[in-house]
Amino acid sequence: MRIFIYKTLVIIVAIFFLYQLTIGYTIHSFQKKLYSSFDKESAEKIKNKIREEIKSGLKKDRILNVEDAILIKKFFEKVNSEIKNLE
Amino acid sequence: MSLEKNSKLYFYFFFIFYLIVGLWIYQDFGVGIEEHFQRKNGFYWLNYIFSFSDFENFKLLINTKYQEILSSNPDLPDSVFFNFYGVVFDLPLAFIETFFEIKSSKVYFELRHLINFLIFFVSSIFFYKILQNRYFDQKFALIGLAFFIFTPRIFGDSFHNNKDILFLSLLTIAIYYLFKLIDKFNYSNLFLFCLFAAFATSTRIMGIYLPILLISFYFLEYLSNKKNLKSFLSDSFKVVFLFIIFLYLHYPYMWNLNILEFKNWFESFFYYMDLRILFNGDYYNIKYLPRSYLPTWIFISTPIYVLILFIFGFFILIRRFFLRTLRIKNNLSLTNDFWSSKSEMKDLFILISFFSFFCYAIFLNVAMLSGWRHFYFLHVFIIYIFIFALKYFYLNFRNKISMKKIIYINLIVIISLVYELYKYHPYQSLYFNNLINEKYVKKFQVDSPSLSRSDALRFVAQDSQSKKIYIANTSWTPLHNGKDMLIEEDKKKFVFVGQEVELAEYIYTNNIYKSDEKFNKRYKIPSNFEKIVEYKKDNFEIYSIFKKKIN
Repeated sequence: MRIFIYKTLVIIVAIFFLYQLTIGYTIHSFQKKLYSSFDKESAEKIKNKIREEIKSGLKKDRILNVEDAILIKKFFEKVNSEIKNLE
Repeated sequence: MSLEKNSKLYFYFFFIFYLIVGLWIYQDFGVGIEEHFQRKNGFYWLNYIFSFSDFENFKLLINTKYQEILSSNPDLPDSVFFNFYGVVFDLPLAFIETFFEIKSSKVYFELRHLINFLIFFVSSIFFYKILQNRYFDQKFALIGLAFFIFTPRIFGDSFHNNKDILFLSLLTIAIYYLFKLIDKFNYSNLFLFCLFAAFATSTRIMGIYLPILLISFYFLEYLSNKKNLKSFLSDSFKVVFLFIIFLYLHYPYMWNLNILEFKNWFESFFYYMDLRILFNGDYYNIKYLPRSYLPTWIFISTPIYVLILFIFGFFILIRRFFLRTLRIKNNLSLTNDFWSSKSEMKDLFILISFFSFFCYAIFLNVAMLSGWRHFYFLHVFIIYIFIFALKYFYLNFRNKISMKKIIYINLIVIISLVYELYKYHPYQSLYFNNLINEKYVKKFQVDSPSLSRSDALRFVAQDSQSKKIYIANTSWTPLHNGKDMLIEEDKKKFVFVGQEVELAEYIYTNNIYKSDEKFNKRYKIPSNFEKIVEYKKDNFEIYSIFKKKIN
């Protein structure tokens, strides 16, 4: 009886540490990343970053290179014509 | 004269010296970030307790004070929700404040600091007795006592941290009576253990582990035939019964609990604020901190000498426990158990206490902020294990190193610690050891208890000639409460404009932010302000004051 209880205790403690050092660790890392990144302050931080990038882009002579501009133009024209054809 | 013969004399000298120093400096500390909330809780409970009485005038006084706190500090956490704090310390202090009609905020906060210090002072006597009880050696007990008191963060907090240091103090006293109970199960030891365990539990719920672990040890004794079933059941019942009775008698939180809603009893204890704090250069949600949070904080803010011996002692204890576990066989003998003597049983109690809480903090997503102050109670286990290592070291190497040498080495470390206390005063609570340099400290929150605000306001009051001083705060911790440590005349001068820096003549910051200040404009100091104070301790910045430039 005595040895059985001691062994049970040791097994419970071992399982706890095994879980915490494997699956628990992965879950914790995910939670830590999720809760520390996606809060109001971080959203604000990302928004500010996008605003700053747009502002600095507007200051440049060109935002896109010629090839990209042609590609996007063609893409919009295609999308536009497909929408019109629906009518 | 030998050291042995004079140990008692040193003991008295030490305590008188410590008491005099404490009484001399208790007025130097700023108001801690939680003190206003705790004071409010004290009045909340006093109001509640006196609602059952007929002292109408006194009830009116208490209620007026409580309403005053509610109106002057509307942002404080709700006492109705956090009604599990404040019975042991805050309620009696609220009573004293009302009974003696203390009107000055400076006086009542200083009184809190004084009482907090005196409670810690008493608990340090009990810590000395714990070491005496375990090691039967006054010299080691005195060394342990000096480290228990002079560890800088604990020393500083023993004046203004009315929650965590109070819990450390009550836990220390409860452990002393637990040791006495292990030595001899009698009603006086049982009564005092249950009383202080109940006080510790109502201060911080973690105190509930004391009777649980004690009963677990009784169970292990029963398994080893050191106790029979009858005595195991009767002793356990007495512990549980007295503990619950004492807890119920002094803890109004229990009075309103519904026995059928057991699962809700502990719910409110695990509430946490949705906050982010700076740790090791990054901001984390306080509930999902890196697992290295508590070990890192202990490593960078505990004296290195204590750390080294503590780690050594910890591994010796783990090794002993491990070997004893491996050797256990079905046959019953004195050495065939987790412990072979009462002293070893006490060591195991301390080891399990430390290890369980340490693992709990690391693995179970415990919300922590303000360094590791929520786990300052581990200090009693750390110093106990530190002394265990020192004694082990002495017993195993006494041919090479004499007791005198051990005393001198420790005396040198203690003197260096006292020097650190002097150097950091009154910011001992913000101590960092030499494992961390000035550059690295910036990756951590320094003045998280917001102790510097009173000093900063005092400086501004002296610097300004105006009758009204408009002051802004570009840190997350509240500034306006800091005025309560000023004299009435200075208090009236301040107008707090929050983060509206354009309205301010002065700006204060202690560099505690809720998010990375690089991306947050509200923490930015405008260019028309110049830095007039950069207050540093040990080369790291605690707070700064900026003043509007004169055009």
